[in-house]
Amino acid sequence: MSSSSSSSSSSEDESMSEQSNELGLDFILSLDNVPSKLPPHLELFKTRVLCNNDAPVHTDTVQYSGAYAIMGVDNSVRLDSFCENFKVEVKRLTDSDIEFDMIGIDPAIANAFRRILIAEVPTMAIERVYIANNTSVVQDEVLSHRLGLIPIRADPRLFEYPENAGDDKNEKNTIVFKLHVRCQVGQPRITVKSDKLKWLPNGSELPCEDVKPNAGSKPKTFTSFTCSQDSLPEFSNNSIGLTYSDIILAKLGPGQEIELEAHAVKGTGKTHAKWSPVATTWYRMLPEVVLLKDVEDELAEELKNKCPVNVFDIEDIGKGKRRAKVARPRDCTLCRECIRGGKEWEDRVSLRRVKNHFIFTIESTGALPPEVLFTEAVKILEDKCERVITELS
Amino acid sequence: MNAPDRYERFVVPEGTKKVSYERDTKIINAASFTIEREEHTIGNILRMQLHRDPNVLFAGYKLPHPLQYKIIVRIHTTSQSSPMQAYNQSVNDLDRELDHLKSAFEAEMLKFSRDY
Repeated sequence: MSSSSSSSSSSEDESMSEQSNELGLDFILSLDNVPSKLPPHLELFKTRVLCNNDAPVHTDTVQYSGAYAIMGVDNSVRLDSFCENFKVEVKRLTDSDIEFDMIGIDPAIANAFRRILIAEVPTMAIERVYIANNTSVVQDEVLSHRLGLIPIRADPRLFEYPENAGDDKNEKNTIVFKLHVRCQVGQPRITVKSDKLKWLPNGSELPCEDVKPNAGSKPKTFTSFTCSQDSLPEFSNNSIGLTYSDIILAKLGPGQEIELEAHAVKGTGKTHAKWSPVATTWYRMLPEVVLLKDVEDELAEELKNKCPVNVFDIEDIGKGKRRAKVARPRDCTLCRECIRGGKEWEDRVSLRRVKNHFIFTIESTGALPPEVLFTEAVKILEDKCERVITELS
Repeated sequence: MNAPDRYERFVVPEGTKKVSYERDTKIINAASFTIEREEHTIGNILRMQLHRDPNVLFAGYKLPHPLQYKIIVRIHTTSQSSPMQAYNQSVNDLDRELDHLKSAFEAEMLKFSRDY
């Protein structure tokens, strides 16, 4: 009797092991005693950064698909689950900046966008300055450097990159500006601002020094425009100019003069920061403030007064009692002021950051609107991905 | 003076492959991919995407030197897959994720401009 039962159980085990080999992880996950999701404390460590009084803990993102395999939890992320969980919420949008939330993405992707926005989205900036006359106290190279950093209001998507180290300067790859200011003798000092830079849609007006003009023919200039830029349909809606008209370039004393021509070309922030389309762009993880215990009456007042950015409010709960509540967790800077003052405060308030919720801010210099900058950054990252797969041999 | 030209950071020289593949001689199902003129931007998201794949045992990248403008991505997979397969799948998935991200952002912008 016992032998027959043991033989039957062993055959069951064999069939079970065969079945598990065939089905693999799916079979294991379907068993009764295997947890389908992580226990709460591990879920907390996986999804939150805990900001303790001394230092943040559990800061790493658990990306490895087999991280919780021993517990029978599959940590791999598939495309369909990403598409289900991903959300974008725009919180603020102005002409020069945007703040939006990206929920359900990895820090690596958020950081890739930040890097691309700073260094790889192209813009137009002054690259060559031809100085005909400069008697101001500002040296030629300092003035050129200052001109280079002026943000230009021109859509870089309408231009091409300069070829062959800028030999062929045409209407498709160069924008020409002219600056000619003079402080008359006997007049007070004048401040030269960026509004004095005038766009020349017909190209350069300065004659090349190395070419002797023939009698009757037009002198050769530094550009070879085939037509005027303002006659092109793409520039009729997008007039070219400077983003800010009040940037101080130099100050001229009586009798001093500046005459120059500045040529702007397309480039990226990788080459020089003047081509960076953003003043800055950054992201932060969503702060989460949790009251672990009820904080009432005097303690509630103390907690409210502790916070420098007014995260907490006080609500009446009847019978003359008042209780603290978290009203504006998004404003929290995690200064940890609310958990200073002993262990008892750490037991009352928990400061956290949500690991997959990024508050992304883009401040544009004005060449392109901030929302366009972000879509351009996504396109650039997509192009990179396509290049690293198509060019694999 | 003797600083390398700035364009060298992103222009792949003639005769150089953008991506080259080298199998590991000591470990089966392991390989190194050298991606020219790329850096942390692509290296980090590629590593992240590879980690999501259940068939990938190891994925990492390094920049050999700040003045060598390339990254080396190393992948070790189970016998069910191969490094090339894992690499291709992760880049394709990433491309589709970015496509979804872009359309979600554009839809949200449309909704935001309608509401405000």
